[in-house]
Amino acid sequence: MIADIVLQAFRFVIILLLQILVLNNITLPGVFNAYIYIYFIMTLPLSISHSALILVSFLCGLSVDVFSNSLGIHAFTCTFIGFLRPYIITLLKPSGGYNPEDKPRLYSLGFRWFVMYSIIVVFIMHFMLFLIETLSINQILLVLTKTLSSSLLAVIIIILIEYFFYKRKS
Amino acid sequence: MRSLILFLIRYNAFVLFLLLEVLSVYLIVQNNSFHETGFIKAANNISGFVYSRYDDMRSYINLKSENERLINENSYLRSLLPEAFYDNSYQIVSISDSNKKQIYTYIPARVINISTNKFNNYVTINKGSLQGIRPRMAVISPDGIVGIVKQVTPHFSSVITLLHQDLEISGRIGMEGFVGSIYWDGKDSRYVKLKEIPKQIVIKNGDKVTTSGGSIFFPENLVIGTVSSFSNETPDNFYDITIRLSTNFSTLQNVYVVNYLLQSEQQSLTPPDEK
Repeated sequence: MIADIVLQAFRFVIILLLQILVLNNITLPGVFNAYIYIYFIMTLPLSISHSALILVSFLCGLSVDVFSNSLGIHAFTCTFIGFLRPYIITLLKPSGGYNPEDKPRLYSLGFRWFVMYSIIVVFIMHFMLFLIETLSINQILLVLTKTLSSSLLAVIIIILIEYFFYKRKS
Repeated sequence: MRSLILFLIRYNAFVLFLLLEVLSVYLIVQNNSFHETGFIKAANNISGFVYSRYDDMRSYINLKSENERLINENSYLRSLLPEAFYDNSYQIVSISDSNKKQIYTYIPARVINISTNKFNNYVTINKGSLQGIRPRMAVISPDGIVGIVKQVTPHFSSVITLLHQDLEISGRIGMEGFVGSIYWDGKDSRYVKLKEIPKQIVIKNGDKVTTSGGSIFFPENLVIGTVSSFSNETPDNFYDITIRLSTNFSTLQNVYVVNYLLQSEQQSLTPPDEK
C-alpha cells in the first residue's frame, strides 16, 4: 500500500516535470497547447475510491496551476475529470465486464479501449480548460479549434508514452 | 441533523467534488485581481524557484544571439550619451537641472519562464520586491513592450503580457497621433489588434504604433509594433487593424521593469474604473 503511494507520487513528479518543462514549451501559437499530465489521473488504479480519486485529481491540477499562473483553472478541470472518471470507465465497459485485476492501461484493456478512453478524457479536459480560460462565448470557435488540435496532440503523446514505456509488461 | 450526516456519508464523493470545485472557483477569482493572497505568493515562490533552476541550464543555448542583441542596444544607448555629441554652442550655460525631474527608473531583469500559447499569458522574471519591483509597474524589452507586473515575491515577479485578454493598453498611430486600444485576440502571439481608430485618417502597412502619452504604466513613444494589415470593411466607423509586435515573445530573455515615480500621484486623479 505504502509502496504503491510512493510509486504513484514518483510517477506524478515525473509527469509534472515533463509537462511544465518540456510540453509547455512546445508552442505553435494559438494551435497547440497540449496538457498530457491528465495521463496521471487517467492511469490511477481502478480500485481507488471515488473520494480519493477526486482529492488526488484536485491536488494534481493545483500543482500544475502553481506552475502556470492560472490558479484554480486546472484544479477545477481536474476535479471535474476525477469526478467523471468512474462514469467514463463504466460507459466503456467491455461486454464481459471488468476483471478485478484490470488496470486502465493499454496493456491491460487493449488498444481500442485505451484510445477511446484517452479521447474522451482528453477532449473533455481541454475543452473545459480553454472555456474557463477565455470565459467568453464569442471566442467559442477559437476554443473549439484549439481543443481539437491540442487534444489530438495530447492523445497521440499519451498513447506513445503508454505504448513504448509499458509495452514490455504485456 | 441526523439525515444531513447520513446524506453526507452516502454522497461523500459528490460533496467533496462540490467543495473542491467551489474552492477552485474561489482561487480563480482571487487570481484575477491585483490583490495578493498568501497562497498565490507561496505558489509564485515555488514556481519561481523551479523555473530559475531550469533557466540556468537553458540560457546557455541562446547566449550568442542574446549577446548580440544586448551589444546592439548598448551601442544605441552609447550614442545617446552626452559624450557622443559635439558641443557647437558658443556659450555654455550650465543649468543645475532643477527644472528636470527624473520620473522613470529602470530595473533590468531576466525572463525565467514565459508562455505564449494560452489565452492568458504570463512571464516570470527573476527580480522581485527586494529589488524594488511592485505590482502595476510596466515591463519593456529592448525591442518593444512586454506587459505589466501583476504579483511580486521577494525574488520573483509575474507579469501579465500583452498576450492576455484582460490587458488593454493605448497605442498611437499616424501623423496626427490618433490613439486607440491595443488588445490580443488570442490567436497568434506575433500579432495584436488595434481598435477605435476612425476611418477618416489615412494609415498604411508599416506604420509605426507607439505608446501614447498619459499612460500610468508606460513611458511615451515606445515602439509597440507596425501595422501589418488593416481593413475598413467593418460595420462601424473604425478600422480593423492588425499590428505586428516588435517584441518577439518566443525569444524574450532580457527585460527592463519601468518604475514610474509619479504613478500613484497620477493614479489618484484617474477615475477608479480605469485600471
